[in-house]
Amino acid sequence: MNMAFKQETLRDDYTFSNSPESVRRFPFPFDEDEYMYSVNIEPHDAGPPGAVTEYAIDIDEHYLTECEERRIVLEDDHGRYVALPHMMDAQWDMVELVMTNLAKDYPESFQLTQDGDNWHWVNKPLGIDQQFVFGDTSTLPMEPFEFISRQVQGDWVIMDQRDDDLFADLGIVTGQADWSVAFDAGMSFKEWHAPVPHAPEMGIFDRALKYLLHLQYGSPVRRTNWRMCVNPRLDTSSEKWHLWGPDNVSVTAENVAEKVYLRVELQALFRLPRSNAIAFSIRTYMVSLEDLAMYPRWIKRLYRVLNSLHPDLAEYKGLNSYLPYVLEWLKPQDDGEVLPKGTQPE
Amino acid sequence: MAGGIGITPFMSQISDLNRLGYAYELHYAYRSADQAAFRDQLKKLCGDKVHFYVDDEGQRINFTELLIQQPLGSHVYVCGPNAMVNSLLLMAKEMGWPENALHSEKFLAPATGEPFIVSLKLSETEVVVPSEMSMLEALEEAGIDAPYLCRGGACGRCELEVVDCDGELIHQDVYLSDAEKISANKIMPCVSRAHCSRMVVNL
Ligand code: HEM
Ligand code: FES
Repeated sequence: MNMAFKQETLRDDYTFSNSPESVRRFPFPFDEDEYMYSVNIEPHDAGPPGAVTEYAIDIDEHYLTECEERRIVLEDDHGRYVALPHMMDAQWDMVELVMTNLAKDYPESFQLTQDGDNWHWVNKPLGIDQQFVFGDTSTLPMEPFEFISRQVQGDWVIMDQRDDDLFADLGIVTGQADWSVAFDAGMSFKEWHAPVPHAPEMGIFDRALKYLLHLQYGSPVRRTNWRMCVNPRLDTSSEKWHLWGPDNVSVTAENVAEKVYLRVELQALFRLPRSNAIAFSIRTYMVSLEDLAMYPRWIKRLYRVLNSLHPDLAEYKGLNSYLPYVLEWLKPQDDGEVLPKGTQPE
Repeated sequence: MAGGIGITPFMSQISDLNRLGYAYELHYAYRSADQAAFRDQLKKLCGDKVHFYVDDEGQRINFTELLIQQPLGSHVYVCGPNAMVNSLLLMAKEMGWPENALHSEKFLAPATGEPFIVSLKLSETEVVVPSEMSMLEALEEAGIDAPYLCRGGACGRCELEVVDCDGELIHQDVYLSDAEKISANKIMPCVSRAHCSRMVVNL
């Protein structure tokens, strides 16, 4: 892939924008005209060239933008990085997972040389050249997981597996959709999912947990989740609601198409070899309604999904204050054509 | 403890244990001398901490003895065929090992077992499910367009209606309710199979 990294902002003046190629590869989440929660987990197999799933860890044109955004958030609030002491093996697992995958899949940008435990890591876009001893924390400028997670897109929560449950004991979460890693740290799988409407009584979290407990090393899986947001703001954390919440009422019939974004999280889960922990990555893609309209198939489907969305889901996802404007804008674009199953743009 | 290609996940773990200086023993069983993957490498890495068991030559790992010898607070990691993993876990539990000290990985899909025939009512064909393949894999192999998503018995996408079965369904999924499992007219072919000679499904 031709990697031209842009330098944009995800706050204040919001210069973030998607190239046509980025829109085309957007992981549109709806394969049917209706949406309800389900155990939508599948093997994280390699997708076609150019797809966001082509490689295990996706790097795109917003790489520098998102790394800079992460730096800004951490500088303001280092509590977005949580690392319980027993997770040191998992920290090194993450160094290995990210470095080996990036170096293998994007050799023009990242290089890794391993001579036993002596590793040499080169990150060209960020200008990092680091020699270190794998397993020796004193040879890195900060904790191993913080070091590597500042160099990869997406939020990461690493779960320790014990007593047939998963605990969020390590994580870097700087671009999340209205939740808080400091709040969820140390909680179990069902505890942090408790606020989700309807899914618990549908048995979704019971089944998903049982599945994840058997997740195998070397066989990662993935799922998508979606939300919407006003302005391309990654950091819609609960902590910062006072900064982004008020934007939700700034949507009007005139600005809805450029201001409102469909926000999709591609979540991949990897079993880690040393710690037996599970890495959960939340890679967020945002596309404005205006850009999404390049593909009528997506726009029609989005209208049908939102129009039939269960009110409890709309409320939980925080859509209520602007959903009417969104529907009003989408509706004339849906001619009622029957859309076959599938998420493809055309 | 590793059985056959179940040795693979241990290769990186061993380097770490060496680096951390932790005490460990590796017990590695394989079918025959020519199937001993990584043997030389392991000898170098582990020295006298590795023990080899060649099935062909009648050598078996004695689980009970090994478990009894371990100091309190030890952890067991096992990766190998179903039967090996299951019997080790069972034994360890009976001996009172805490569950969080037991770590396992089965390299064979849980869906393996005895062979049987699936008869597809709608497509009017028959597919043999061999012992080393899941029912879903066998359908795919035969070119049948069977639905699936998670391939792990959790999502529900692959559900098939069982019209008839001359034996017993072996449900291994977490999707169907207990009542549905007992009523024996649904199956999740990604992980479940049957102890029968012929099953008829609505596909
Ligand atoms: C194991 C790693 C996972 C982590 C760390 C995680 C974390 C979270 C968090 C923090 C939330 C927000 C809850 C809130 O409102 O406070 C959430 C929502 C949710 N999670 Fe997970 N989750 C994981 C796996 C899964 C899996 C495997 C499923 C499969 C069904 C799932 C389904 C959901 C659903 C349906 C929601 C509601 C999302 C929405 O409507 O926006 N999660 N998850
Ligand atoms: S494919 Fe998900 S239950 Fe079988």
